Amino acid sequence: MKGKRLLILVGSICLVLVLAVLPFMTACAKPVPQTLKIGALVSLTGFASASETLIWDGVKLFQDWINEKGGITIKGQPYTIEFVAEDGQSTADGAVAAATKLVYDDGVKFMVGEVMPFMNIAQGTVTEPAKVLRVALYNCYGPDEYGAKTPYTFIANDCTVDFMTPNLQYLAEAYPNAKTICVLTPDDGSPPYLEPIFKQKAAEEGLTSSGFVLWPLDTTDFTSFTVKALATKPDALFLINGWPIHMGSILKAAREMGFTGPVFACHEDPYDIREVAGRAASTEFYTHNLAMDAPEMTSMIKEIAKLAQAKYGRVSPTYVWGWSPCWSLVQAIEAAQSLDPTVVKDTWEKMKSIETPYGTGKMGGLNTYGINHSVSAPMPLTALKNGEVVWVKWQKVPLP
Amino acid sequence: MNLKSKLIKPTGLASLVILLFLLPLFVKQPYYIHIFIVTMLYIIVVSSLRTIALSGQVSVGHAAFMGIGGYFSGVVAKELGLTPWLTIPLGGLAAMLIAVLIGYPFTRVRAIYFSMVSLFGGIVIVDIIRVAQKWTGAAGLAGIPPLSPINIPGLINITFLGQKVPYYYFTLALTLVCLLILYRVEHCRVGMTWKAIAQSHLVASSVGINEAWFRVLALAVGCFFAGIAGACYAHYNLVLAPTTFGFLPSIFLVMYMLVGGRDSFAGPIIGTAILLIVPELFRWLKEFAPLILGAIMVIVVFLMPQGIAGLFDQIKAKYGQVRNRKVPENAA
Amino acid sequence: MSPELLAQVAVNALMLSSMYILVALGFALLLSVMRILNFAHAVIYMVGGYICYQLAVVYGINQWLSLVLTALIVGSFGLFLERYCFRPFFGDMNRIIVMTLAIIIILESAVNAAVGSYVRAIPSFAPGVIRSGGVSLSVERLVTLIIGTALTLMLIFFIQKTKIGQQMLAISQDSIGAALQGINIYRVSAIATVIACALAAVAGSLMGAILHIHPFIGDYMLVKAIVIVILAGIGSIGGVLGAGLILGTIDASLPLVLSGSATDAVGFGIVILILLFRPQGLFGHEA
Repeated sequence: MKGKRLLILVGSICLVLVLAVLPFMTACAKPVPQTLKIGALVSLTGFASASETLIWDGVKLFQDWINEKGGITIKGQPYTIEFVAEDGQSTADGAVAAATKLVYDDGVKFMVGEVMPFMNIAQGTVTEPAKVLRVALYNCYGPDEYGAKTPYTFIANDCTVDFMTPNLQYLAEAYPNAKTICVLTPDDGSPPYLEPIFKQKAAEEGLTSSGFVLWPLDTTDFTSFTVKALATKPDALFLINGWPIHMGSILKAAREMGFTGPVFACHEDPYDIREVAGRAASTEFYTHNLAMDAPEMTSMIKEIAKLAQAKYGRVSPTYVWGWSPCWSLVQAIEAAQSLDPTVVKDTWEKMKSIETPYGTGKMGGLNTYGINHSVSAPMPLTALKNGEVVWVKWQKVPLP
Repeated sequence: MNLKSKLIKPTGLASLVILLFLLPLFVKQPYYIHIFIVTMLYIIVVSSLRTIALSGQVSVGHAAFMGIGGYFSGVVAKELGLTPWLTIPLGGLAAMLIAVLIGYPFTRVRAIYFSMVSLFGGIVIVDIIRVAQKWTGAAGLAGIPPLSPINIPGLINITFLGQKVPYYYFTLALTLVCLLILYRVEHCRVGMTWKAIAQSHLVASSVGINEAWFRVLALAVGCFFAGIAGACYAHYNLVLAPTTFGFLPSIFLVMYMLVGGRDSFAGPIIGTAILLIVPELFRWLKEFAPLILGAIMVIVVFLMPQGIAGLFDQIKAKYGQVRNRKVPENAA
Repeated sequence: MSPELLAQVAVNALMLSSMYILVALGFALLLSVMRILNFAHAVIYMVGGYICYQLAVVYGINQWLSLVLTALIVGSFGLFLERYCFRPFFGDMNRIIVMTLAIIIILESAVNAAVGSYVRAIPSFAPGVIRSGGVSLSVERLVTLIIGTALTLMLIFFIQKTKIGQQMLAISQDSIGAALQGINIYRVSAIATVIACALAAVAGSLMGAILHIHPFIGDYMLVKAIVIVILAGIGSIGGVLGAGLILGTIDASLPLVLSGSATDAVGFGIVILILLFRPQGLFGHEA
C-alpha cells in the first residue's frame, strides 16, 4: 500500500515536471512559419490592365523568390509572405472597393499598389485612416496624392518629377543644339502641379518649353495632339506622363509627321512602346527603364530576368517595376522587426540605405514632396534606336 | 382568402425593412456594410432613372447627374466649409437645375434619339467637370468632408468619420424615404400623365397634355434624386473621380433597370441589388469575376422577359396554368 | 496658322473620318437597316483585331490573307449571334440591349483572362509615309481610307441594287408586312449580321495595326460609332459618310485650339447642338 502511494506521488511529480518543462522544449524546437498577408491592389480589368497585369506578375515573382529564401523573420518567428491581389478595375470606386476588401476583410496591414493618381488618392482614403502602410509605384499629382497629408504612403520607384532633371540633362548633353521642348501629358489634373516645376527645371538647364499640350485620358488617336505639339517647332518632345499605349501612339504620330528630334518619356516599358509605335518609328526615344539583355544590368535584375523567363517564358522590365516596392517593403518590415505599420513607417523613414533591383537606394523626398518616403535608387536610361532597345547608362539622381 | 393575399405584400416588405435595420447586428465586417451602403445609393439612382423612363425617356447619361450632385456638394462643403447636411440637398438641387436647363432643348428629340443624345450629354457633363480642374481636381476630388456629427447634448452623439454603421443607417433611412416619394409620385396624377406621354405623345398632346413640361418635370424629379444619392456618395467615399460618372456607368445603370424589370417599381431595386452584390461575392475570381455578371444577365434575358421583378408574375401565371388544367375534365 | 498646318489638319480630318466610318459601318448596317441596336459591335471589333493578331503574328500567315480570314471567321460568328442572341428577342429592344451588353462583358473578360491584356499591336499593313508639300500622310491610313470608302460604296450598292438589300429595306420599314410578302426575315437578318460582323472584324484589324489591340478598346469606339449613326440619322447608310466627315473634322481640328478635356466636351457639344436642330439626324427619317 505504501509503495503504491509512493509510486503515485513520484509519478505525479514527474508529470508536473514534464508539463512544466514541455513548453520550453517546444520553444527551443523550430517554430512553425506563419503567413504574412500583404495586399496588392492592381487593375486586372480595364484600360490600365495592359501594364498592371505585368506588375502583378512581377509581385508573384518576388513572392516565389522571398519564400524560397525562407521568408522573413520577425523576432524569431519566421513568416512566409503571401500577396493577396484585388482588382482595382482601373476606376476610383474599384480602388476603394478593393482597398476596403483588403483592409477590412482580408485584414492586411501592408499593401503595395497603384500607379494612377485617382486610384492612389482613392486608396489613400481607405488606407490612411486605417493606418495601413502602403507602397505606391508612382505619383504625379502633388500633395493630395503623396506628401505630408499621407503619412502611411511610401513610393518605391522614381516618379514624374524625379525624371525631369535627368532627362533635361541628358538632352543637353547628347543633343547640344536642342533648345526648346514641347511637353505632352494627359489632362488628369496633374498639369497645374507639374507645369511650373518643369519650366523651372528646364530653365536650370538652359532650356525653354515651347508648349504644354494636354490630351484627354480617353484619346485613342493622337495625330491631332501631336500636330499641335509639333506646330510649336520644338527640338525635343517630352512625354512626362501616360501609358505605353499612349506614348507609343504619340511617338508613331510624331515620326509620321516628319519629326526627327528626340522624344523623352518617363519610365515606360521600351518593349511595349516599340510594339505600339512599330519599329520604323522607334528611334531617338529615351525612357527610364531597362534593356533587359544589356550586360550593365545589376545582378538582381539579371536574376529577376532568369526567374521570369522560367515562370512566364518572357522577360519584361515591368516585372522589375512590380518587384521593387515589394522588396523595399519587406526590407523595411525586417529592419523594424515588427508587424505594426506605425513602427515600420518610423523605421523606414530613418533607414540609411535600402536595396532595390536598380542598386542600393536611399530614402528621400523631403525637398520635393514634403515627406521622406521616396526610395531613390540609381536611375536607368534606355533608348530605342532604329527599332532596337539599346542601353544608355545609369544616371545618378539628386535626392528628391 | 382576400385579406390574406392583401396582407402578404405589406408584411413581406415590413419584415424586409426590419431585417435591414437589424443587419449590422449580424454582419460585422465593414466590407459588407460598405457594399450595402453603395448598393442602396445606387438603388436610389436607378429608381430615379426608372421614374424618368416612365415618361418614355430612357436617359443613358444618368450617372452624370449623380456626378453633378456629388461634385457640387463635395466642392461646396470643402471650399466653403459648409456642413454636408446642408450641401447634400444643394447638390440635389444643382443636379435638378442642370436637368431642367438641358431638359427643355432635349424635348425636341424622342425615343432612341433622346437616349443617344443623353449619352452624349452625360459625356459632356463629365468632361466639363474635368475641365473645371481648379475646383474638381480633374483626376480626383479628395478631402471631401464626411457627414458632420449629430450632437444633441444629453440625447445622442453620432460621429460619422471613420465609422461605417452610422452611414449605413443614414443611407437606409434616406433610401426608404426616397423610394417612398418616388412610389407616391408614380401613382399620382403626374405619374399617370407620364405614362400617357410614354404610350403616345401625339395622343397625349391631343388631349391637352403639355408634353414638354411633363417630360422636363420627369427629368427634374429623377435627376434631383440622382443628385442627392451622388452627394451622399461623395460624403461617404470622401473621394470622387470623373470615371465613376462616365458613359459606361450610365449604360450600366440602364442595364440594372432593364435586368430588374422596367415595368414594376421593385424592378430597379431588385436588379441593382443583385447585379451589384452578386459579383462582389465572386470577387475571388479576380479577372474572371465579370463573367458572373454576364452569366446573370444572359440567364435573366432568356428566362425572364419582364426582368427579375417579373419573375413572380411569371411563376404565378405558370402555377395558374397548371392549376386550371384540371378543370376541363367536366367540360368535355 | 500656316497654310501647311491647315493642309495637314485637313488631311488628318480625312484620315480620321475614314477610320470612324470604317468602325461605324457594321453598326450602321444593323441599326439603320435592321433596327437592331447592337452594342456588341464594340467587342466584335475588338475580337476581330485579336483574331487577326493571332493569325498574322502568332501563326505567321500573310497579313492580307489574315485580314480576309478574320472577316470570314468573325462573319460566321454573326450567324451564331443572330440565331441565339437576336432571333429569340425579335422586336424587344430592351432584351436585345441587355443581351448585347452581356456579350460585351463576357467577351471582354474572356479575352482578358485568356490572352491577357498585355500591349499588342498588329504589324502595319502598309508601312511607309508619303510626304508632299509639307504635309505627311502615312500609307496605312491612306489604305484604310481606300478600303473604308470601297466598303461603304459596296454596301450602299448592295442595299440599293440587290434583292436581299431591298428585302432588308422592306424589313426595316415594316417587318410584319415584309414577312407577309414572303420575305424570310430571319434569313435576311442572318445575312445582315454576318456582313456587319465581318465589317467590324476588318475595322478591328486595320485599326489594330494603326493603333493597338486591347480587350477594352471597344468601349470608346462604340461611342464614336453611335455618334456617327445618330448624326447620320437612322435609316441612312450614305449619311454615314457625311457624319463621319463631320466627326473627323471636329476631332482633328479642335485639339489645335482647345486643350485637354475641353476638346472632348466641345466636340460632343457640337454633336448635341446639331441633333437639337435636326432631331432626326442629318439624313434620317422622322422617328
